[in-house]
Amino acid sequence: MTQKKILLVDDSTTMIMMERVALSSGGYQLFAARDGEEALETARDQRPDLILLDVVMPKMDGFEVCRRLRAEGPTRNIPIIIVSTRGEEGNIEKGFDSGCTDYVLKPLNGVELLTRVRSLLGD
Amino acid sequence: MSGESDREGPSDYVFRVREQTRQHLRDLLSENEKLRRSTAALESERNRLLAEKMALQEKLLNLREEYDHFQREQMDLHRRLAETEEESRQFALQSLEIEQQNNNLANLYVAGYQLHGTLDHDEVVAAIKEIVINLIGCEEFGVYEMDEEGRALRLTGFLGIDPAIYATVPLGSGLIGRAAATGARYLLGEPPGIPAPREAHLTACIPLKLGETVLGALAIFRLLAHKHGLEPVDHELFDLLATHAATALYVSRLHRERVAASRLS
Repeated sequence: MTQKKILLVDDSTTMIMMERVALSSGGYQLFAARDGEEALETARDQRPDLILLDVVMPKMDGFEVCRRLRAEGPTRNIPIIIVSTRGEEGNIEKGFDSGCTDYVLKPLNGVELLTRVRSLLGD
Repeated sequence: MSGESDREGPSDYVFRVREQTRQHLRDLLSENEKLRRSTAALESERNRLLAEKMALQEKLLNLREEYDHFQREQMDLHRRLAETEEESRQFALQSLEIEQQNNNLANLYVAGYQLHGTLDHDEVVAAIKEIVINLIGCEEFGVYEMDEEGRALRLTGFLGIDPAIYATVPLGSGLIGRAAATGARYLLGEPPGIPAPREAHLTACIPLKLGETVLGALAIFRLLAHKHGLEPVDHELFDLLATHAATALYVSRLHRERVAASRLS
């Protein structure tokens, strides 16, 4: 069985590490990108099965990355979970408007994240 | 005929009557025998039915006992099923709790790893900031370090607060200064001292200590809007930050001084 690929996008190494640890028991192949541009590039190259996307990042914010991923054929249908500190209704709405599949709040709960990832990947 | 009967003598009459009587008696005896047989048959049938009734009663009794037994067994099975379900629920809860604890431990590991992963002072401060944002869930905080003379705290890292207002805290002044002076953690809701006006939104102040020596403090102001208070894991993170952030800051300062000294020499 082929390993499912997950792209982790965050400018914080702490967050990337937390996500890696949280998803480690899922047996996924994990990739990381530190900003929006790198995220788009890696998504095009690796065609991940799912993307975890931070919002506040240098160069391009997560909402814009999400919009661009949805606009491109090969990445159009990849499930995207936005991981954000912004829990206000307006921001969540903005996230879903940009095309995200799910919206998770920081501080990250690893157990909850793994459950949502498994659910979206049908594991 | 009538002539003959007319001629019947008394002895004939007696004979005839006797014969008739005998015949009648025979008939009666025969009928009696039939009745006796019939009675015997009925008696036998009655006995058979009685036996059958008793057998059925016994069978019914057995069935009742069996029914009671099955009912008891069913109740027992229901009880065991409920017990098993409860056990299974407890296991699921325990499993979730263990997963949550693992996750918390993993977060503590990540925090420790990030703090001690560099000797660069700015990177240590950045690591503290990332931990506060991503693990505690706060975007209004200040990282303070004790000045050379040990008289005041100086802001070396912050997010979401005005650095001009929070730049320096004299030791012993307000909640932050007092936490640094005494080495005792301040937590919102615990009997406080008198907050300075700028500390109105202070949620916690963690003195950063090496042993009993306070090297700085972490002032946590408002938590993220969706976070409704500190959780047990936050206190564990505070414990970790109190010592490990202090160690990391101290080592990075020593390293900076060593590098500066080696440049001079």
